[in-house]
Amino acid sequence: MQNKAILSGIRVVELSQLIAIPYATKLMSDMGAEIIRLESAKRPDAYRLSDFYDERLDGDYWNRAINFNEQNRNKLGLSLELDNKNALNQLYDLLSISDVFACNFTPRVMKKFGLEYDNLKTIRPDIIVVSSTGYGHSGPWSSFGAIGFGTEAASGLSSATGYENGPPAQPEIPYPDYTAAEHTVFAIMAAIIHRSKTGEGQFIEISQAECVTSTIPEIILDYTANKNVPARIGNSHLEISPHGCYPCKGRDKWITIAAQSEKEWISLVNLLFPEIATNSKFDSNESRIINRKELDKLISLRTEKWDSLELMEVLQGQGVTAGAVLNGKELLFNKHLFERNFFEIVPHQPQSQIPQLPYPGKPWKMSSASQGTMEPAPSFGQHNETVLKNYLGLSNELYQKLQDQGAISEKLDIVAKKITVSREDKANEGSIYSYDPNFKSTIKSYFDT
Amino acid sequence: MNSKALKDVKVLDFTHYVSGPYCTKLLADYGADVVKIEPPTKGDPGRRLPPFEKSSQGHRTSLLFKYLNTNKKSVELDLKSNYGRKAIEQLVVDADILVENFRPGVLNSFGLTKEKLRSINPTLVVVSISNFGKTGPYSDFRANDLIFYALGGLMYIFGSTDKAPIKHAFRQAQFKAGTNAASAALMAYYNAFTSGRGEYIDISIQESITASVRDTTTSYATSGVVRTRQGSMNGEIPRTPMKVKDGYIVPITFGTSDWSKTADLLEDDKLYHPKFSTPEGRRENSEEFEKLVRTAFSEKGKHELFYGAHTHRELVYGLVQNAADLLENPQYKHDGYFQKMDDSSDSETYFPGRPFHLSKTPWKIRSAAPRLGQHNNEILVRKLKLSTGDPIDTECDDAK
Repeated sequence: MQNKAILSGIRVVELSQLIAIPYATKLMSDMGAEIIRLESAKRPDAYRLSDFYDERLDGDYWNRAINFNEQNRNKLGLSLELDNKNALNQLYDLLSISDVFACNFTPRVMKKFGLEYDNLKTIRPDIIVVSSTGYGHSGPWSSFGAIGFGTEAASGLSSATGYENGPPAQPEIPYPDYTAAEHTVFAIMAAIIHRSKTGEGQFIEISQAECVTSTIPEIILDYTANKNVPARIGNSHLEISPHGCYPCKGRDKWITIAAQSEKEWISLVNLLFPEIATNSKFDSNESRIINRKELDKLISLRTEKWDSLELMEVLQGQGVTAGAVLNGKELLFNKHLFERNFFEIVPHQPQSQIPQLPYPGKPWKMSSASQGTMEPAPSFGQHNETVLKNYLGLSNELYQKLQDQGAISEKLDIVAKKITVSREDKANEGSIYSYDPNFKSTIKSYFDT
Repeated sequence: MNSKALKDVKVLDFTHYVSGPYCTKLLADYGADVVKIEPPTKGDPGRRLPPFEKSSQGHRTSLLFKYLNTNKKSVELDLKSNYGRKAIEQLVVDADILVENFRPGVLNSFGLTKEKLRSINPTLVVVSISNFGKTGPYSDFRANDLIFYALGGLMYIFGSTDKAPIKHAFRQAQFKAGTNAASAALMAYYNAFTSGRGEYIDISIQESITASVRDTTTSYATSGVVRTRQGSMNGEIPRTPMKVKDGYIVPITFGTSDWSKTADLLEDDKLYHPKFSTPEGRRENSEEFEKLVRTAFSEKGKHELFYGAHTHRELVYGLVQNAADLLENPQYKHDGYFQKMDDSSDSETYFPGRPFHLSKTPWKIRSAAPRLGQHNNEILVRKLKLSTGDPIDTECDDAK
């Protein structure tokens, strides 16, 4: 007997943008839940409007937007303008046959369209409603818009992160959106389990900033117990030395090394510079912490003669904690991830003429063959007919009426923003690491797509 | 009223340090019954992780451990002993979820193979968390958070292009993997509950990072572009923490009409010069622009800028907060977010409370983190009806 995908039978409707909800529902759609992604032609997701496959801006460019396609694979796409009363009623009808409604707009938007829990539970008593916002669904900061760089700052994480003596630092991604999304999946699953046992739905409130604060208990604990405020120390570690990122052979190549025990230190020192093995400045972890800066300089002088991946293999072979710093391309072609089939080969809509491509996979592997297959992200409005006519029984006449009123559509009426700096120029000026014009064949030959 | 989302979900917890304990903390804090199995005498090495609270007796209590192990029960068992194995086999019989973060192969070495576990309990969900997963050429590699950031892809795009890349403070990768493990556990439990089929889940901490680095790999796969870290401002306001009079602010702007609003907020006449009014103009005069902007920010206070920015919908500035700021933050206060670690004592130690709110089945601390072996008697003697002798003694007999 064929196993069903493990979340099959769960239907989620999302009114969402960017990552915080879309990534959460992507993790669920990957496991077989049916996700209906709402979109608006008047207010499209910003991810529909930037970063396109091979930077092509012609035709329906919005269906080739890479971040949208990544976050929305395996979902159904429904375009509805909610300021149209008839369209909004269709959404209420849809919610009456759905298990979960998830939203990451501010509470103002949910209220405006009557999409708050108290209203939706009159439509479906056991519905689960999720509000994911930067700072909270109610309270003094609840009306504040937010993206990850703001919530990361507020969470406390940035205050402890950064180069020594430098300002707080953040990575080049909206990091907290992912932390919030990961907690959102857990929250939804807990609510679904509760519902399946008791028949009771509920309201889930996610503050993206608070999710991140829950993952840095150290700063709260140490401050309230000991009045300690952590200094920004880059890659250093208060209790381990060496612990850092060191240059390797080649342009912008690096290796991270952490000598987590005396045994690891001895293996490291014997490989890199046996002559200092007995130097009293470095003969214990304590002395290495005191002389950390000098030691880091010495290590850099040796590591820069090595290829980062080769040095990692040699060090790990001797039991030393080490890892090469992988850039996007090295990550995509990393042999370990490849052997684990981490990247999912995801197809695209046939009319887009984009081949199937590797996208980041799931953060778990389950042993049974009970996971969903990979389907492309929906083109804009792709499943309007499926959802409105087949699921909700809308007549051809009323469907046509919605179309005439501009309440549903299959295209955007927005001109693509011109690309002002070419990929070649970006590579030359250093705002990207590199541009490889032969990427298509490189990907094809490696992933055999 | 049933106020626990995960009421009657029985979890057997073989985890230590951070990733596994955060997974089982999430399960426990939302109502699951979690029994934490610890090696006798020593316990979870997470009991010795900083930060510490100094007690009057001079011994150190790990506050991180106390945070990560709320609502759990602790039982000491030596998994190498016959006694320990017998107890575990009995506990597996009616467990729903087993979570472990031993190195790959260690669980098997205790005789707890997939086949064995399945024969005892076919609907059991087994969650294994490890550095790089159970398979593949790196499966035996050593790691900590620094290495996960490097090999996960987050480090390369973190920091300045003129310096070595950096990582977040503390243990983000391990918390991420713990969260994902908890979600996966519930997905599989939901399936086991409805279909009667168990599941074996392999969580790689590296992959928890790699799954969540936005277009780091995708930009190469789709456009041949390898992204990098922050360079110079180049005529744009960087959305990176900026020094202000009393701290740091993240000046985040959306759209093209924003510059005038930013200039209004900064109230510096020099910024209204027409040469800065267009992106091209700012780019052409980028050095002068950068200097002026940095000076203008440095003369303003963080709250003035933050609250001022949020009166405009397009300026979604971030406020850099440390622990002291967070404890006073009106939104966190409104949410009742911070919790006193120990209600019964006069300690003023607080810890993060609910990561999110479930209206009908709220997050709740029902019991503080257990002392090592606090529930030996309750579980081993009263529940399993094992010998009344001290299990640690039994383990010692066995070792001879």
